[in-house]
Amino acid sequence: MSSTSQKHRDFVAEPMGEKTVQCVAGIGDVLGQRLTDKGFDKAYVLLGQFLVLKKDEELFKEWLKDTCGANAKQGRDCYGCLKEWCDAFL
Amino acid sequence: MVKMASAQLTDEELVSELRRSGEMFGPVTESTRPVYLKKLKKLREEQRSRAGKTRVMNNSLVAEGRLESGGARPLAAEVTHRRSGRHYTQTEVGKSPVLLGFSSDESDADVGGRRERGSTPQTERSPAQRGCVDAIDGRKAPVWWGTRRPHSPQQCDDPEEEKANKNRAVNGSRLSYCKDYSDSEQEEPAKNECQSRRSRRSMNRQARDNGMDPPEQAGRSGWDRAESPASTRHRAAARKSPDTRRSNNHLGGHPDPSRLYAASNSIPSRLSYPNHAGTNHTFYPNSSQKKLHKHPEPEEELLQQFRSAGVTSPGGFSAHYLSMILLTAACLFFLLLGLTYLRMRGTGLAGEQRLRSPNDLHDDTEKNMLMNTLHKLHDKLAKTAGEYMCGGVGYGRISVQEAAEFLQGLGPEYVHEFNNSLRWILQSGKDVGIKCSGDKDDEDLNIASIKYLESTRPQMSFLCRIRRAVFTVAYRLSLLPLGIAAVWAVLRYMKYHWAKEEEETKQMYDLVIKIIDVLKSHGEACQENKELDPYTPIPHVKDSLISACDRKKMKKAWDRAVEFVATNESRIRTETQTIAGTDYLVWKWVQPPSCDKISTIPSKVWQGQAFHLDKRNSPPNSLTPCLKIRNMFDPVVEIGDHWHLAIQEAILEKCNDNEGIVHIAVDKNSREGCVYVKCLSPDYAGKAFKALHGSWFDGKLVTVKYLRLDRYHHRFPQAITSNTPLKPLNNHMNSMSQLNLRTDTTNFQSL
Repeated sequence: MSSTSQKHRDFVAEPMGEKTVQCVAGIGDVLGQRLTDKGFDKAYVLLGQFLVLKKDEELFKEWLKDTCGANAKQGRDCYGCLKEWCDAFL
Repeated sequence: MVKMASAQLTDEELVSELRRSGEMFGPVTESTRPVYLKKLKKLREEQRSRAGKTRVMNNSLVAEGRLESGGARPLAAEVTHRRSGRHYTQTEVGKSPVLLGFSSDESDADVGGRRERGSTPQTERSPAQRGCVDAIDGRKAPVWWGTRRPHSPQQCDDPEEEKANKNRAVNGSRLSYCKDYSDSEQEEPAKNECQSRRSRRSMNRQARDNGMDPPEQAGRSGWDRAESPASTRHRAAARKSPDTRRSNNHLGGHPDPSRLYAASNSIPSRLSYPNHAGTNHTFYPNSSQKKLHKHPEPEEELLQQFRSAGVTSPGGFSAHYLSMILLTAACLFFLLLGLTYLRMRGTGLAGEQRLRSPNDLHDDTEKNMLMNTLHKLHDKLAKTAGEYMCGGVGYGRISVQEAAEFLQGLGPEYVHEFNNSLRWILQSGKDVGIKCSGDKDDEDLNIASIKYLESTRPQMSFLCRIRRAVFTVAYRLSLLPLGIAAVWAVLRYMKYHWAKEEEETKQMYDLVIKIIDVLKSHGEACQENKELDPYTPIPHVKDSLISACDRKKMKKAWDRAVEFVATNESRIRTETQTIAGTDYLVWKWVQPPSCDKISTIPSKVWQGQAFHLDKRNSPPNSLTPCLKIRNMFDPVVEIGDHWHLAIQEAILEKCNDNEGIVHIAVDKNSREGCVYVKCLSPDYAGKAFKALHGSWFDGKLVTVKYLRLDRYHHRFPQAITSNTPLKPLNNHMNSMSQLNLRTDTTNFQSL
């Protein structure tokens, strides 16, 4: 398993507070902008969606792909990031 | 059938379908719906591939599952409402109780009828189900059912209205109003489903197109035609005041009173329908207009996917971006090209632009005239200069007279402007593409003293340009090898110089060693024979060491050796002595003889045999002429370049009686100190083997073994041609001296 990115570690290290959606690992400027356009402007909104999909990896990645055109790696990173955050803080 | 039904899945159905398939799922919201639809589609494809005949059973299971999910239904229904008419919250508020009431009603009813009634609210069910419902419908009529009953005959009486009901019911089902109208739907034949869906779609489109368009709506649905006065009125009311609308909703929202009322009087009930219709249609435009921008497209797409049941193409997104990127790149490329071209043109035009700029001061005609003149002059000069540079004309400039003549040829009016233009060129003081030169310096040039005109921007033909470019490139390229050659030459010289220096140093050390040897032996001789002079003149040493032919060449090395001895050799003292009346610089060996003995440890000498070879340990007769000798030397200890020659020499001396050695190779890098020897024949090789094997050489025990000829030749290809036997270079037998000495002593001892 490859090591996680710095962004991932930063995000997972603390409560997300008012962080923007771009702070989530796997979500760059482009995806972040698309998500923001669709109303997912904050990380906690994305988390909400993640939780609504019951933390299901397949569904969440599928949703992310449909919503903002995330590729497999971005989806994986984003899922892993939120999952780990939930494991730590929920 | 399943596919058809999936096209119109409500959220409830979706939930139940998902639950049936045993998947873990969350709430169906606006954002999660597409995901679940996709998931369901995938599941269904799997299912279909597994078994096709279980479909009917599945349908009944669907119904059952939906009933079991009664608790989740209100939420899901609400979600449906929000999805279909988000901006119409009143409906939502009004609608939820209906559903709640319905489900509670249902729970009051007997368990046996659950399945059937559970399926009744869904207008778009499979015929099998509907048939089932029809069968039981008459038998079991619950309270709610009863209240609805009275409508049916009335609606059945009016075929137009029935048709309208169908439309409306479908329409309602889309908006989850189905429960109110489901009874009428049950009277319809099964095949109406497709038809109704079609009509619903058309209505949807209609609604989307122009909100509500009464004539068209009426033309399409008989119900609207029949109820047009009421519906229009209500619609108008609904549009006008939200309060009315809300009240309408309440009428629709609390069905029990209104329906009870409807049971007694059909007209109010009719009115209640228009209410629904009014609300439906009024918020259709609202919602659809908003939805148009938001979600209908993806959802429609998803439905399309369901209908076609084809494989989705996820690459669409990236392909789209790829094409965009390619297009952008192409545009960028051409833009850059254009910019580059413009820049090049810009530099070319700069002069003319500058030509033009100061002319703004003058009035138009004069300005034009001056400008024309300057342009003509500029072009002419540029052409001349270009031809000059290409080697066509002798001069790159033209005299003022020539210029004047040229202008005269163009027309008399240009001549008048000639002086003006010259003045202007002088005044401008900038580089305008025309340079004036005269006898004097450029600073105090005036019109009278201008003799020649010259262009600073020669205009050359295309071929000429190419030729010049090629020449320039060739010229510059020719400089490159020259530079490389120069560097290479310098490097070569440095290398040569270093090699020479090294050689000289080596010669110098050789000489020093020889000098020491000579002086040492002379000193020893002096000690034995007291009559000899204890010193040796330096020129004599030199002459005895260096042969006549080398003296000139070795002079430098000798001088250095002398200097080295004077500074670094403490055992030799330099003095001035008078020999035969002449003063000589002499060397005197001053070392006491006592400490002399220890120093000489002979190297590269044979030190005797370790064991005798006899029949027991001698190898069989040799089959190959090649030998591999080990332990002749230690490559770590050896220094210098020519030590391997000493080894060869030692081997040849040891095999002095053997004249069949034709090739010797010392493997300088081998850790084992290997030397390879090739002899003329296997016999010679056997002799050499006996001579070398088991001898001590330089403190090491030498071992020999045979080597196959092809191996030897593979390793030393140059040995194939060597046939002449090698001989020791000198007859001193240095390496054998100690052996002889020792044999002598042993002989002496044995005696």
